[in-house]
Amino acid sequence: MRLLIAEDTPSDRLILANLIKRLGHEVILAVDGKEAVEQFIEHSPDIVLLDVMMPFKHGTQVAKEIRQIAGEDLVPIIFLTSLNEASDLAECLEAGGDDFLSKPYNTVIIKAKIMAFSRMRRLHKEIQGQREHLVQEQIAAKGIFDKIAHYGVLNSPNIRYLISPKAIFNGDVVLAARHPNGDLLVLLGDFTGHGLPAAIGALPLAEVFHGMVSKGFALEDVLREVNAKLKSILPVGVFCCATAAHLGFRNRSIEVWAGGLPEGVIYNTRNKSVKKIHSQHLPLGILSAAQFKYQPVYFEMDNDDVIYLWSDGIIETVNAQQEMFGFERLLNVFTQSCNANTVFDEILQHVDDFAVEGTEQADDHTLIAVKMQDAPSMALKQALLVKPKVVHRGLADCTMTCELGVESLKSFDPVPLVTHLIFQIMGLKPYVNTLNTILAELYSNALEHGLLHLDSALKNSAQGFAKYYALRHERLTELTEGFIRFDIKHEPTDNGGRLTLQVTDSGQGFQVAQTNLVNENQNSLINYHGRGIRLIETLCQRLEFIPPGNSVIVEFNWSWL
Amino acid sequence: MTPHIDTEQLAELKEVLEDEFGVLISTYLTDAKFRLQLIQNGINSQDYEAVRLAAHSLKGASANLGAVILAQLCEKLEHDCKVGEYGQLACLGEKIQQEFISVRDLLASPQ
Repeated sequence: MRLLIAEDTPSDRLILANLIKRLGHEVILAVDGKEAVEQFIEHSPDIVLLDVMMPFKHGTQVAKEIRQIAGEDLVPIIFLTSLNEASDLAECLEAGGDDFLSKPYNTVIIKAKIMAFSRMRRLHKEIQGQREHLVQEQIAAKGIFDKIAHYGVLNSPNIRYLISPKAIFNGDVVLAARHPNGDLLVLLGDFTGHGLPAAIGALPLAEVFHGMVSKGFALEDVLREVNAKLKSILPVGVFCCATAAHLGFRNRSIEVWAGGLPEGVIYNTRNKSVKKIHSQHLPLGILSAAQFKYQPVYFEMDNDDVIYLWSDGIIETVNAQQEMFGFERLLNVFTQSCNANTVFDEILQHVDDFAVEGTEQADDHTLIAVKMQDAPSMALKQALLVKPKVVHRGLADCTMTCELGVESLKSFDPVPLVTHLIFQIMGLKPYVNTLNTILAELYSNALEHGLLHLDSALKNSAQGFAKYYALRHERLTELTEGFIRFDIKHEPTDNGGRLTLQVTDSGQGFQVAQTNLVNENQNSLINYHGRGIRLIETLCQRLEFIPPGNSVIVEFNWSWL
Repeated sequence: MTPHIDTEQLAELKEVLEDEFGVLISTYLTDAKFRLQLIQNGINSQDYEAVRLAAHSLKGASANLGAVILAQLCEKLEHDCKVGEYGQLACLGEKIQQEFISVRDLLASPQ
């Protein structure tokens, strides 16, 4: 052990130095307070013995400075004193001393105290070492965690996000994945608590989310599965506040489910107006599968509109007066911004300015912004980037029929299932995104127009949009008879294959016989079938309506890539 | 009657310090003379803070060498300065000078 003795009386210094050397320790000497600090910096001793009354710098001041220099290291400070009154001794301890030694010095006591403090120091070092070890382990685990939780399409050009760096692990999670049809599903979650226990729930969440979205499941199915999974694995009292959104790039709409997070917004970058997204549900992982509610809200989104979501860190940032940053201040950033493209950075800047400098909370932000864009072309291009693997096994020549009755139609989305079937056909894998788009469009036409008689003209206004979905839900609930049938046929050709999809509903059709020529009556067709029908025409080789219009045949010729 | 020096304590010091014991004695005596001068000057010039500090220092050093009476006198002097009772300072100063002479003679003689 190395001990620093700071004592201005020469004979006392001599005695103490000799006593301690005899105990086998190294001794550094200082004759006044100023020198004590200098010697401490130079030799970094393990224990400091400090006279209270010294010239140039009082012992209590020296103690303060040494504490500051030592930082997280534990350096026991023992005051040397011939002060006898209890109040004086108490003052030493308050000034940052750990103990005191009174004159005349007693060898036995000195030995005992040095032993005690060296033991304490050793324990402290062990704890520091273990903590360091834990941090290293967490950093390694974080690397794996990030690969699982934060992969996907978060780096798409229309997404910006920031995950709180407050702790190595915190309970915040940001996910984004692309639907086979090119749509984007995003989720921002905040698990209760902090650290590893909070973060670990993010792993199954991410796995279910990425897995199901890429197979084409709807947001509702994904969230139901996630909720059930979290409910079954998380301990009571741990759950995940989340907002999830499905950005439909073709019909420029967004479907949002919000459970427990602060209100997010949809920001119109042209007129700087915001629409708030209120939380209407309990967080994920609380309710049983049967009790789980899915009542999303729908918004129309123009190109360049941006959805912003955040966890509570930003809103709960406090300033020196203990006021919270709050939602109002946050909204003002949007409405008062001079440049809609820099709002993301402005939010961070405003919160940073607001927070007390140097406090940890200044970094506790999780934020994501996703912009609506003309995505179809982008999504289809992405599809072609999928490198086909050499296929040895799979479907080739086959036909399949799948008919859904009323009860199935009310509770089941057949598109992922049929997409999955097509996925099994050799060589068709690179085209699965396009085919999923076609299937989804044909199915929603059959259901919404054929069976539920909804008018897609309603979707032309913002209010109509919400009304459209409300009506869809209402009529589907009341549906008592009807069916939708998929007839799928695949024939291999020399350089690829021909896939024929026929979707038939039990509705009355729209009397193609009367309007006959599609070209002349484009508008009525589009009002009946929605904007998506034009897209399908561009994606396949043949599109034919069977009179009276309740059945559609699509032919898709493909070649090996 | 309390002896000027606690011989047992001094013997223990001698054992611990071995060859350096002589150095300790001369160091103590030199420092003590210096502090005594400070005490005397302080009393003369009524600088009681200076008196208190010097008395405090001499008290500790003396206690460590077993000069029990000298340490007690210094403590009294320190205490009076602290609480502002200056009536006996001159008298105490005298006593401290005398006691120091006794201590010095004992320390200087071969142990």
